[in-house]
Amino acid sequence: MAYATWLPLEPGADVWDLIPGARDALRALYASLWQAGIDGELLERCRRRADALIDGLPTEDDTDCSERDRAALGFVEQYVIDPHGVTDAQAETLHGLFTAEELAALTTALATFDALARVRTVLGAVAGTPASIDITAT
Amino acid sequence: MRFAPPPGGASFFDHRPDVFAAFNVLYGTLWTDGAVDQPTKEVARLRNARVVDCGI
Repeated sequence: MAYATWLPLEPGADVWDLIPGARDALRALYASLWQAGIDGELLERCRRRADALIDGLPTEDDTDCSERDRAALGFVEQYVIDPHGVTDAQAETLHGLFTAEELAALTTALATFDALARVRTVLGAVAGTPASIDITAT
Repeated sequence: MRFAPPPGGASFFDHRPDVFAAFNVLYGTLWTDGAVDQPTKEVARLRNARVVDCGI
């Protein structure tokens, strides 16, 4: 989980060394997610999907996926792109394919993958600064 | 409610208290440790919540 960054760090250090305990806490969270009863391959695919969307890269082909996997990946896409866009129908489909326990774990996983992908993107932008970032209060 | 909490629970995440606890340990670590003071983090949290239209 070492991230490339433009932050000033000591040689051999990475971002996670800046916050005592954060690396261990993240590892523990990852371990709990991978032990939560959801197929590890699906979780990894969800992580790659979030990364691809945030990095603006092509996403993997889902044609070989099960209905359950496609529903999870669709949930990832909606979560990353527009969480308000999750529909009642999408939620109903997810409830039909996952238990509430699995959905709680999957949603926590998505939150983690999304956040880490954004952090990695922001801190790893070594090629220059964006043209503009509009943070005007609304 | 699309994602309802379990009986006696406060949020949907209470369906997996072990996972939620692990998440909260990381969240708490980021919140309480590090070089940035908590008021600044709260300002960032509020701005983020406003941008994504989160009611929390």
